[in-house]
Amino acid sequence: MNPSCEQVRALVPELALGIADAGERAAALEHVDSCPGCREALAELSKVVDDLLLLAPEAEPPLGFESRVMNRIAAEDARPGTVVPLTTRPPRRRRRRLAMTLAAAAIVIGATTAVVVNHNRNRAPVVATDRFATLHDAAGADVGKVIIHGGTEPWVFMAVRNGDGTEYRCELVLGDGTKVPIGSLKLTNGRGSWGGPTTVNVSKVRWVHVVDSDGSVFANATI
Amino acid sequence: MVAYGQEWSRQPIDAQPSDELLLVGYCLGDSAAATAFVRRFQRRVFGMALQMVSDPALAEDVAQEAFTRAYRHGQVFDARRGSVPTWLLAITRNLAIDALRMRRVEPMDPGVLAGLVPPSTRTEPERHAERADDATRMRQALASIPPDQARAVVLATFGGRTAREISEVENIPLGTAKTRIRDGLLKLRTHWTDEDVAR
Repeated sequence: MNPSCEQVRALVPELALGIADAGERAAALEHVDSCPGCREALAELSKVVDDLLLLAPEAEPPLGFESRVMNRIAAEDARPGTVVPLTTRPPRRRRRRLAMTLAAAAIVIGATTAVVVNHNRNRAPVVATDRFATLHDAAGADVGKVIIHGGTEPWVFMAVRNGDGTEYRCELVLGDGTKVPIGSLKLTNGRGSWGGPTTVNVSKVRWVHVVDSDGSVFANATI
Repeated sequence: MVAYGQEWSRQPIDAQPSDELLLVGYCLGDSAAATAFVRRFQRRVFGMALQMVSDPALAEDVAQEAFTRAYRHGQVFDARRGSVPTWLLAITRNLAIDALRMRRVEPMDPGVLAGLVPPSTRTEPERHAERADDATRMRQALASIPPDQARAVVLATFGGRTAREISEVENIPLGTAKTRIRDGLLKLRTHWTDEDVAR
C-alpha cells in the first residue's frame, strides 16, 4: 500500500540517513518518486546529512594506499568494453560520462544561465555549451582531447597523449587568425594536461593548437 | 591577453586546481590529475571509512572502493546538490554502511562517536560565523541542538545505526530514538538555512 505523505514525512529523516527499514524504505521511496513535496523534503534533509559528513575526522591511510587506488582505476579501464585510452576513440558511454562530469563542473563554475539541464534518472546535467574536439598530430593521429566550456565563465581543458616533447604551449586560435596563449603543459611519459578558466570569447575560437618548444604545431583541434 | 589555468603536475596538491576541475581530470583518466585527486581527498575518505567501520583493513577496502566508484560514476556528480568532498564522503559513507551490514562487523563504539558531538553552545553567541567554513558551521549547528538529539544524529550518520539500534544503545524507546533523529535533523536544517540567509 502506498503510504501517505504524512507517513513518508515521518520517515524522511531515516531515508536521508540511509537507515530506514528496508520494507518501509521501498514503499516510501516509491511514494517519493511520485510526490514532489516529499521529494523536496527528502532532498533538503539529504543535503544536511551530506554536509554533516564534513565533520568526519581525517586519518592517514596505510602506506601504498594511493598506488593501490591507481591500480584499481587502471583495472577499471582494463575491463572488457571500458578501455578508454585517449589515443583511441572513447566508447560512447565513456564520452557521455566525461561530458556529464564536465557539465557538473561547469555548473559549479557558474555557467548556469548557459546550460540546458536534462534531469535524467541519475540527475546528471548535460551542458549544451560544451564543445569537444580531438587533437590530431601532423600525421592525423588522435593525440588527445579538448573541451571548451562556454557560458558566462568559460574554461578550457585539454589532455595530450603520445607527445614527443616535454613541454607544450596551448593556444586558442580565433576565426580572424589571432592566437591567444592560454597556458602550457608539461609531459610525463608523453602525457600531460592543462585546464583552467579563460577570458577569451570562446565562441570565436576555431582551432586549438598544442605548440612545441620550436614553435611548431604538434597537435591541432578544429572546434 | 593573459589567461590562467592549472597544469596538474606542477601544482601543489592543496592549491589549485579546483575540486571540480580535478574531478574532470580524474574521470578523464589523466594520471597526474588522478594522483592529485586521490592525494587531496584520501585522508578524508579513509578517515570517514575508519570512523564508521573502526577496522583499518576494512576501512581501506571501503576507501579504495569509494575512489573507484567516483571514477566509475563521475557522471552523477551533481554540483547543485553539493561539493565534491561531500559527494565523495557520501559515497564512502554508503559503502561503509553496506560493509557494516554485510560483513556484520562491529561499528565504531558509540562512546567514540559521541566524541564528534561538540559541546553545546546554545547559550553562547556565534562569533565569526560569517567567516566560518562549512565544517565549522556544521559543527556549530550540531552544538546548537539538544545533546541527546545531536548524539542520535551522529550515531546514525557516522555509525550507520538504525533507530532501533540507537534505542538500544541509548536505552530509550524506539519512538524516542526516531523523534530524536528527526528533530535533530530538522533543527540542523533550520540552522543551516538561517545561516545561509544570514551569509
